[in-house]
Amino acid sequence: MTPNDSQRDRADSDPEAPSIMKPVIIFVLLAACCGALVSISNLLSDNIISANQIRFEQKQLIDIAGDTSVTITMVDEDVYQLKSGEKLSGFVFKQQTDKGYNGVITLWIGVSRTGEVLGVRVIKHKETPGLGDKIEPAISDWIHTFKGKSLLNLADKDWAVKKDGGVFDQFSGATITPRAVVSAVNAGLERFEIEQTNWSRHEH
Amino acid sequence: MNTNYNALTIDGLWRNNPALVQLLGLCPLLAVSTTFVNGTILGIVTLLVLTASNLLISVIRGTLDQRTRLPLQIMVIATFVTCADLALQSWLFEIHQRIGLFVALIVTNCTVLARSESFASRNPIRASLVDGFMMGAGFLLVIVLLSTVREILGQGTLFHGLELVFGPVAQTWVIQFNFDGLLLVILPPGAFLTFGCLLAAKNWLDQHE
Repeated sequence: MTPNDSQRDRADSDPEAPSIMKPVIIFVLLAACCGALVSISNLLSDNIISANQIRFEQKQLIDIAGDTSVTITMVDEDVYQLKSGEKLSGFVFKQQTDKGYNGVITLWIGVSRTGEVLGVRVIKHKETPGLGDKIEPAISDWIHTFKGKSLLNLADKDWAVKKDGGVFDQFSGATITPRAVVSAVNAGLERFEIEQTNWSRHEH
Repeated sequence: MNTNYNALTIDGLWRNNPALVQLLGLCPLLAVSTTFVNGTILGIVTLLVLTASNLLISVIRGTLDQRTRLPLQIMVIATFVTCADLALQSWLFEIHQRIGLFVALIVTNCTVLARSESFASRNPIRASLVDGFMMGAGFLLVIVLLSTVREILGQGTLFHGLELVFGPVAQTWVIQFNFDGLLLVILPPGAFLTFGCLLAAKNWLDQHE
């Protein structure tokens, strides 16, 4: 049978071919059921998941503070003061970037009063597992390289991955993710310089 | 029709094991089998999704049409995976932080589509249920075995991180072996090597039966 024949065959038998309508209707009905199932699951789990997310963020926050004797007080939305005893020792604030490989990366950045990084933690990201997820402390030590860095002890051009002439390692196979995190920390420190007096003023 | 449930069980767990014989779903198998906890949880979620999707596909198998069959099956599988993903985020948030992406990727695990396409879409409900469960159990068995071996050899521990599932009490359940572990076993090449040894062991057993 030549391709032409088969084409004619199909055209000829068209009136007898089962209509596409029935399967499409079934598809749409099933899609509605699936949509309903997912919506219900989402409705049931939404509150629990956001509570989990907040608890996870709190845990990371305490991790940056390092010491359990440090008291953490909120001064602004997503900005916290760290105090050892009565003395203000630093701040932790949330910083986001959308320059990652896949969606928004959210970080906690801890900064001492003198502007040095106390610690950085990734609290939310959707980077590629095995490549971009080395920003997580559970997977690699990379995120700890920020510790002690500041805008004073590291020149502007050094706030970049090595590939771009900076001092931070990129990961083999993933440059976009670490580049995004480095620039987010840099931007965070610049934000800290502007906001520092503002955030300190809320001292109780 | 008389269905032989014993044959389905042996097929799923051994003779036609999805990972060891069909070599399906290797990406999550190799990527997540770094610790016992990660591997086991992913195995269980895969088993649940496989069973549920086989069940639903079998229920609607009379209405399946040649032209809409594949997208329809993917939709069903994706629905169950999304629900499982949300459930994991609700109950085992920290585990989800580690293996979350691979949970979402269960949609693309060929084992799931293969079973619904080649079995559930042309077999009665109960047989499909057993098939899905046993194939899932076969996958679970292999991923648990692989991650147990890799955690012991690669990290020198067993049951590390179980507290993320059972609460702080499980911290004492960790078994610490007397060596630091070989880094290679935890890295991706180690996954291939360990899995290769498992395959060899299965073939050896089959030949010496």
